[in-house]
Amino acid sequence: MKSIYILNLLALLFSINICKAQQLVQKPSDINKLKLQESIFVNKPLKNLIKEIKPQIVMVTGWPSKSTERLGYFVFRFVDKKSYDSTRKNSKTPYQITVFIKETFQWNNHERNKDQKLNWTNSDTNKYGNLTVVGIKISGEQ
Amino acid sequence: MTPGLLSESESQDPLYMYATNQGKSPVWNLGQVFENGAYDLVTLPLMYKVRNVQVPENLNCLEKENYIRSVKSEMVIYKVNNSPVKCRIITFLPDVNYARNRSYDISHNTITRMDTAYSGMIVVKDSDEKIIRIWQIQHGKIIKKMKPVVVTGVNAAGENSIGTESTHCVFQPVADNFRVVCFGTMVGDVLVIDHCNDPEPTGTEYDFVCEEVDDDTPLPCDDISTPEDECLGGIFGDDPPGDGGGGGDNPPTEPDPCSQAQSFVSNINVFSQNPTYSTAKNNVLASGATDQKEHGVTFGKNSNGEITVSPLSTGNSYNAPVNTNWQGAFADLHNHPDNLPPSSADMYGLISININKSDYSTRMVVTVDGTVYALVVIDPTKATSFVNQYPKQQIANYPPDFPDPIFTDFTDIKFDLVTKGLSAKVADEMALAFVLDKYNSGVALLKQDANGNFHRLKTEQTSSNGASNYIASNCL
Repeated sequence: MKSIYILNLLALLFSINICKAQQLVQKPSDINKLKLQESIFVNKPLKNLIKEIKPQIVMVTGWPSKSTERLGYFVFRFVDKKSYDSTRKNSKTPYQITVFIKETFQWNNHERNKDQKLNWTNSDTNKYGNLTVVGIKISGEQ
Repeated sequence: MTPGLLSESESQDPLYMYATNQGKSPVWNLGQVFENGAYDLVTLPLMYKVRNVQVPENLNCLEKENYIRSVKSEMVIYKVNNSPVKCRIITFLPDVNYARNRSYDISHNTITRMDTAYSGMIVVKDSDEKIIRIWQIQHGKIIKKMKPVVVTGVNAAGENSIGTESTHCVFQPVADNFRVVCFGTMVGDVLVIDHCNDPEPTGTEYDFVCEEVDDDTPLPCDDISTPEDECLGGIFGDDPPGDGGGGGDNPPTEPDPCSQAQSFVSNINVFSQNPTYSTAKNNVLASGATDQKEHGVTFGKNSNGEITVSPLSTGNSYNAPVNTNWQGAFADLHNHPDNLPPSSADMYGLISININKSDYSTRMVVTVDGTVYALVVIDPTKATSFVNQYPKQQIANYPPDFPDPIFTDFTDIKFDLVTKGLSAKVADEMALAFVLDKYNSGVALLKQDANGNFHRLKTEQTSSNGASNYIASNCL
């Protein structure tokens, strides 16, 4: 009876621990935490990084590479184009995450779903989530 | 787009041009906002319901019509610091050759960003159409100044009560006035001209024709293609902002990017006619097509001054596959299997070679579709400063890239252009040309045209409704 009690207690502690784990990026200004913990994302699938981002990714653009000449990358942003342009006009950059990717991938803005051309969707996570992250660059202020 | 034909009447009414009346309409929905130092400006294409245009003689009828269409006016509403808002009307009267080379569309010229190749007249008037000054421009530079001095009087013809007349302007018959009636439809913000009726001669009109005078106003700047504060003050007939007042020394101006690169462009155009170049380029392309890898060669000169080419190298990393120790090396060439323009790695690589070998100043890139680009170090001092100020940023074992803020600018421009429908390749070349210029890299990006001639690529930034626009304004 005593041993059963201990097991239950351990299970309870474990579940509390899981509940406490929250995404690294709770708000756009938290993106520096991704850079601080870059090593846990490098050489890992992109989806690991994506799931650590809580704010909605409003705009994403992919810049694939098909050669050793340059690295392909995704840029994730938390504001729409109008807001982005407005901030840039004042010589500021809204928060954004650039994720450099090891593999070649396909991305054509003109072929994306018209209504979700700039959005990062679950379908994108499925399609690109297993690409390997080789580096993270963060920038922006608000 | 030809702003001279635009009308707020949008689709229904005929657009009247160049008749004999005084109505004019700014095209508000095509306004562009600029911040230029202390100046806040709005430029609006200006349509004259009626306007006199002195059409150059020796043009055939079609060319006359095209020339009339090419003349552009814009209304500039501006203020300096906390001064009252002012208005000027700027008219671009292009030289025939310039207009012809631009297919009679000079609409990309504005007073804040003028084509460095612009040649013709610029007439600056106040909102009452009173001429403030007239300049003759050649390749973006002022070569003649005309300034009518207004006195009270009766016009020379004695038949119109003009009321004022210039001592330096002669009121005389102006030949070949036409009235053109055009019909168009607004598609989004752009007016698409459906057709224009044949020009109707409207008879002989009289207008002021001014002659060159020794205008005692100091030149606001030699090159007004990208005017700074003092330059704008001079253009608009204002005192420059700040504490100086009254003209004074001209501000230091950046050299014209096109003329700055011209000697390098000429050299590469001569070089690219050499059979050694053509053969090497074809070999590089063919090898790349076979294995999808990068291949490259280095061009040098032997002791007799003859152009030589190194054996073909095959790439296996981000470094261009070239032999930098080739005798008399001055340029290299490699292919890009990804069909994209030169990369930041190409640029940083070229500068690092050039720092040690000043004659080695050119890196050519041929893409899968045969497009040839060239990076050329046109100012080694600036190039060295650039790599010191903006050292490449690199993830170990991967190709280098620009550091911020260049990286963000570069990505922004590509993003903006791609979302507007341009291909990734064109967006890339425009973005690269822009950042190389903006950050004073000392490196020019050239591209070979269909006739085999290289031209410097130049991208200009304008602002409209709070958003930046990027337009190709490549050197001719």
